[in-house]
This record gives sequence, C-alpha cells and structure tokens, in this order.
Amino acid sequence: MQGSSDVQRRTSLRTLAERGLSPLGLAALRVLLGLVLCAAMARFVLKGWVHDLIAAPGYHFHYWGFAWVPALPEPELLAVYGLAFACALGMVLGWRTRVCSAVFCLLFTYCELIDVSLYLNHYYLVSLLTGILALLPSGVTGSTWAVLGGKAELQPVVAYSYWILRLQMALVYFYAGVAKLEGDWLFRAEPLTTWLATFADFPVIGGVLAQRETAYVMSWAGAVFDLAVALLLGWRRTRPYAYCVLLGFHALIWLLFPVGIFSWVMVVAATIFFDPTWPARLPGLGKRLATLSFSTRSQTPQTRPGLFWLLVAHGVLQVLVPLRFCLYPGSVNWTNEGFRFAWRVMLVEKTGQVEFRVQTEQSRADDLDQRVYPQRELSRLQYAQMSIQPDLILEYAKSIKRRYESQGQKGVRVYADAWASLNGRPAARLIDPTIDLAAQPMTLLPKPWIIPFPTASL
Amino acid sequence: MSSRLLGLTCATVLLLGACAPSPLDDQRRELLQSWGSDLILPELSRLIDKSEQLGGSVSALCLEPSTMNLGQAREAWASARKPWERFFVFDFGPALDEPLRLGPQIDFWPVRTEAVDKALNSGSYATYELLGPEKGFGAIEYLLFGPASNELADVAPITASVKLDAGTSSRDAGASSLDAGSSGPEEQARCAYLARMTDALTADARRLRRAWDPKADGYLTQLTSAGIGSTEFDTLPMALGRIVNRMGFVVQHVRADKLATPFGTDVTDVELDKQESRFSQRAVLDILDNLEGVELTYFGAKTGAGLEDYLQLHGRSFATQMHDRLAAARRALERVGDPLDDAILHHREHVKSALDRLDELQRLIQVDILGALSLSLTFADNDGD
Repeated sequence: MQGSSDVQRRTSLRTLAERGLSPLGLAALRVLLGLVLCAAMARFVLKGWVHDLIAAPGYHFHYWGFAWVPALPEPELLAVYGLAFACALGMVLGWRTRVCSAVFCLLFTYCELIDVSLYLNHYYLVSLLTGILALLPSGVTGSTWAVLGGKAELQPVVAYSYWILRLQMALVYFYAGVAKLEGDWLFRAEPLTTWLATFADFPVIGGVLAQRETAYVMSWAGAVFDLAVALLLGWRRTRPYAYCVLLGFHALIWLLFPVGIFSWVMVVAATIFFDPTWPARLPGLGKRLATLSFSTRSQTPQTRPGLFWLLVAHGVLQVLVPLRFCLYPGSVNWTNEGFRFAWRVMLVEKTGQVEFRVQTEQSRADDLDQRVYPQRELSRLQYAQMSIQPDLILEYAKSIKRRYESQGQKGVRVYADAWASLNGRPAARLIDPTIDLAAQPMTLLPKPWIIPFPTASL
Repeated sequence: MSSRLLGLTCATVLLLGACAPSPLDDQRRELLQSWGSDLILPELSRLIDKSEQLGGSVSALCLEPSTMNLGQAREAWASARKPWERFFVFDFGPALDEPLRLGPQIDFWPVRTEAVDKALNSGSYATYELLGPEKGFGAIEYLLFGPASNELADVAPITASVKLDAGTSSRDAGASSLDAGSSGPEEQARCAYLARMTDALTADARRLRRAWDPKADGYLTQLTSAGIGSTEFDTLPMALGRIVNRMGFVVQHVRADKLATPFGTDVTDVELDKQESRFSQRAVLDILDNLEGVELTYFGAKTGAGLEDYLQLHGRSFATQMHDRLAAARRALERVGDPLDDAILHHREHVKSALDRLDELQRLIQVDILGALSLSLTFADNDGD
C-alpha cells in the first residue's frame, strides 16, 4: 500500500509539474532580462573592459579543467560581445528566443571562462538563467511586437518551466542568506561597518549609515531578507510586499556599492515568482494579452521527459554545489575553497599582497631569492583577485616555474609571500612561505599549504 | 493587482533610476583637495624654484668655471631632487599618461650614459628637443657628477658670444640660446649641454605644475571632481584609491627597483649601474625623500590633511603602525647609507634588513590600510558582488 501511495504522490507531483501555464511570465522575463543584458554588453564594450580586462593582460587565470579556453584577439572578442548583444536583442524582440538565449549563454560563458579573475556571482547567474531559458519552451509564436499587438499565438508552457527558474532564484537568495550566518557578519557587522563608514558624507542618511548600529541592523536585516524573500515571493499574499522590499534592497545596494548590473538582474529575474499571467494585468496591455492567453487556454503544453529530468538534475546540482565548502577545512571566506558558484555575495572585505620567491639549482643559500612581482604583468583586477585567492596564487606560481624552465633553468622552486586582511583584521600570512607551490598539485582537494584563518581580533 | 504592479514599476523607476549619486562634498574630496593644495602644487613649485636655481648655478659654473661653482651646481642638483622625490606619490596622470608623460622627461633612470654621450658628442642636443634619456635629472647628474665632471671646473669660461640665461628659463626648452656646442672644446660643449638640460628641466617642471594646476590644465580638478564630472575618475573611491595605491607602489618601487635590482639576486650579479642617482651617490637619500612623500601623504603636510585624518574620522587609525614602520625603514636605510655601492658590496645584510622593513611598510599600506578604506571594491575594474 505504501508503494502505491508513493507512486500516486509522484504521479500527482509530475502531473502538477506538467500542467499548462501561461507563457507570458516567461516571455516577460526574456524581454526584461534581454534588455538588461543588452545594456550590460554595450556597457562592457563602451567602458573599454574588453580591452582592459580580457585582451590586454598577457596572462589569464583559468578555471580548473578549462585551461584550454583561449582568449581570442581583441577584434574577435569585440565581435563576440557584438554577437552577444545581438542575441540579447533577439531575446527582447522575441526573435528565435531559444536560439538567442543559447548562443548568448555560450558566448557570455566563454568570456567568463577566459579568466577566473573576472568571476562575479551575477555573471554566473546570467549564464545559468540564459542557459535555462534556452532549454525551456517559448510558448509564444510571434515577435514581442506581435504579442504586444495581440496578434501572437500562445501555447501553455509546463509548470516546471517556472519552477526551475524559481528554484534557481530561491537558491541564490537562500545560500546568500546562509553565507551570512557567521560571526563576522552577525556579531562584528563586517564588512558592512567598513563599507558603510565610507558613506558618512552621504546626503541626509550619511550620518546614520556610518553608525555601527546601522551596520548591525543592516547585517541582520540582510540575512533575514536573503533567507526569507524567496518564500515570501512564492506566497501570493505576501508577494507584493516582498517584491517592494526586494526593490528597496537592491536599490540600496545599487546606490551604495559598485555592483553594476547585479541589482537589475535580480529585480528582473525575481518577476519569475509572479503569477505567470502578470503581464496581462499591466495597464494598457491587459486586454490584448488577456485575449491571447484566453484563446489558447484549452491547449495542453508539450511535455518532454528528457527535459524534465535534465532540469531536475540541474536543480539537484544547484542545491549541492554551494554546499561543497563543507568539505573543506577552515573558513571559506579565508581559504576561498568552495567560495565560487555558491552565492557568497558581498560577504568579505579582503585585501592582499603577494610576491613570489624563486629558487633554482643555481641559487645560493645566503643571498636574496629572485623575486617575481606579479603586478608588473597582471592587470590591477587580476592582481587584486589573485592576492586573496590561494588557487590563483598556485596557478601563477606554476606559470612562473614554466617560464623559468623555458629559459633553461632547472630545479625551479617557487614560494609565495602572500598576506591578506579579512574584514578589517590585521594582515596575516595566507600561504605557507616554506612550501614550494610549483610542486603542489592543482586539484579540487583541500590545500594544506593555506595557513589557517587568524583568530586574532581587532 | 494591476494598480499594485503599476506602483511597483514606478517604485522601480524611482528607486533605481532617480537615486544616482549626486554631486556631494565629503571628506574624501576635502582630502584630495588638501593633497592638491598642500602637497602637490607646493612640491611642484619647489621643484620649479630649485630647477631654476640649478639652472642659475650651471650658468655661473659655465661663465666662471671653478671647483666652488661646480660644487654649488652639484648642491643645487641635489637640492632639486628633494621636492621631486617627495612628489613621487603623485607621479601619475600628466607624469605618466600620453601626450605629456612628463615623468620620464624629468627623471629618466637609470641614466643611459651612452645616450647622453651620443647627444653630447654629436652636438645634436643643441638642435632639437631632447628626448627623455638625453635630459632630466639623470643626464644632468651624469654630467655634473660623472667620470668627466671635474673637467667642468677647469673649462675655459664661455665667451660673451654665448648667452647663458638658463636661470630666467622663460624660453622654450627646444630653443636654447646656447651654441657652445659648436664653439669647439669638448668641455664647453658639455657645459652648453648642461645648460640646455637645466632649461628643459625647468620647462618640464613648469609644464607639470601647469598640468596639475586647477587654474590651468587642471588635472587636480580631475581628482577633486571625481564622481561629479571627472573624466578620469568615475567615483571618489577611485580617486582616493589611486593615491593610496600609489603610496604602496612607491614603497614597492623603492624595494624592487631602487634597492633589490642593484643588490642582485641569487642568480644575478650585483648591478651597480642600475642604481638611481649613482654618480651623485644620493640613492639612499632619494629613497628617504620618497618615504617622506609617503609620510606627508599619510599624515598631511604642516597645514594640510592627511589620510590618517580621514581614517580617524571613520574610527580607524594606523598612525602608530605607520609611524613605527616608517621609523624602522628609515633606521634600516640610514644603516645602509650612501654610497649605496658600499653597502651592496660590503654590508649586504644592511640592505637585506632595509628590504624587509620596507616590505612591512608596503604591507601595512597595501593590505591593512587599503582594506580599512574599503577601496578594494573599486579596484576591481569591473562590477563586484
């Protein structure tokens, strides 16, 4: 009896997941996200970042397993960004939206894979969202203009199209909240105390922002917000209030910190929690869109079992990946092991300094080691990121060894003098200076040569 | 629900669109202003004065060659080094960027003696605008202190047909009135070349001050209007970060380039010719002046504000650490002393100790102070989350 009940429950869950919903919410997400991404691509090019951040550096840090990804020359990179812009525009206009989403996802992810130092949580989220949108049925036949004109044909989409995107967004907020449940954030109000102190001269609210109490209130409120907002957005009664709070939250972040498109992506993506027919309730559009959706209500959505299970697998992966920091010893904010792809958003104020000492067979014990000053080769961004991330320090140490060996040097050993300061603490050694980093393996296993997080307080 | 959605849309527009940072005065802007008016412009004015005095001394030497006048010219050169080395924290913008790029024009080092000799021997210095390696502090030093410099004291006076007005320095650097290069004796040519270079130095110092002066080209305004119209600095933290980073860079530059390079490493030999100011044996004094510039930037000039003032206003202070580490670095450098050659060859442990103390000072600036100022967010030339 128990087995049959389980089967029934699974069947009813599957039925619920595959029931038909209006595609308008998905279409609105595509359009709004496409607009943000158009602006993001244009901004990246216009600010000269294609040159400064990707083309100009002579060295690139690679993701584990992706060292083969090449950095194209600048003209080709500009073409990549141009094509990504066109794809985002396609998403806006409703032209082959799935193809546009897929190509955008590939191009954007390629650009991110070129250099780890470019990693940003919201860029990762953009790759995920556009990747998911590429897989989901559009449900709309016709351009955005046709939809707005009431002339497009709509097909219901399966409910799990919304579920997977809601799960994705919920995980972003939830894990961002979980990451805040630690001592520095809750009991020292860091790094907000440090960050907000720089706003003492802000008009009207500057004095309040600079108060330590404000940092505490914002720290705790931020943690509660991150942990609860997805739930509150999911419940119809609290949704409008939760979205208002979300708007205020992201507006404040956008106003105070240089987070670029982060706030816009989140504000737009959170519309996925709305009722799927929400665009039909917009003033001026309501009647036409409502007619469209009403005319197709009787149709049943296309279901694709392969896609369903693919999205389930993606959901499971997204639940597990941010938790991998539990597999590593020490503080993740210090070691950075398990930090990326885990929605640890705006969590640390970390600065570092790193130089490398090189010894070879010819080295004399009683003299100065050869020093490598990475600032001379790396961009400011690359150096700043490497100086606080041990895996990047390791990768650079290995590149130094290769360089020396290519010059005929033998027995090359590379040591790092790496110091970092986390959330206002005095600088402390990050890497064991006696370890030859060039001899250490590049794996995802814990790195024993990272010096544990200093317990000394301010 | 539709009215709610309308409300939400309006709220989005209002909150995200209308809340862009507005032009504000704050303590960071005041600090930048203070650095400009109390450090940058006064140091550049001093540099102009001292380079004019150097020009006057060289004129006197050439008109009346003597050991005493050579000594005075040398002193004038050393005296002009001080404001320049103290200014080094601010050696960016017009000093580094094209088209001006005045830093290498004023101080190209290590001096390329072959370029100076070539310009001197060919007489070309008199006919075209000198390039960086052919002029500036390094080239002047080479002629005033280099192997053949004592001959300057013995050279026959330059005749009245050669006008020496380097001290007035109102003319353009490319139009020297000296033509001693064609007058015959090598020593006279050397003297004329010197005068030509001191003219150029004064002119370049003037151009640099003009480039910073808010009443002229106004690069200082780029700093102080950061975030409110500056085309160079989008935000105040970027402007502040540029200078704090420069403080750290100066210390690293001193360590890596001024000390460690000539010191040599475990596989490279001592490279004495990679020193700064090696002919005048002023390498360590140059470094001490660099550190004084860092100190003035941090603690403020007599009448001006410093970074410490800003930190204190925000409940942080590194005054004790900064004071201690600067003092330790100075003590170590004084043990090294000039001439640096001597320490590099015979007291290497003193140089190593100085390198270690400078490392500690650099770390304080680049890790602790930068972290306390929360400038790392703006260092990522990219959006950060």
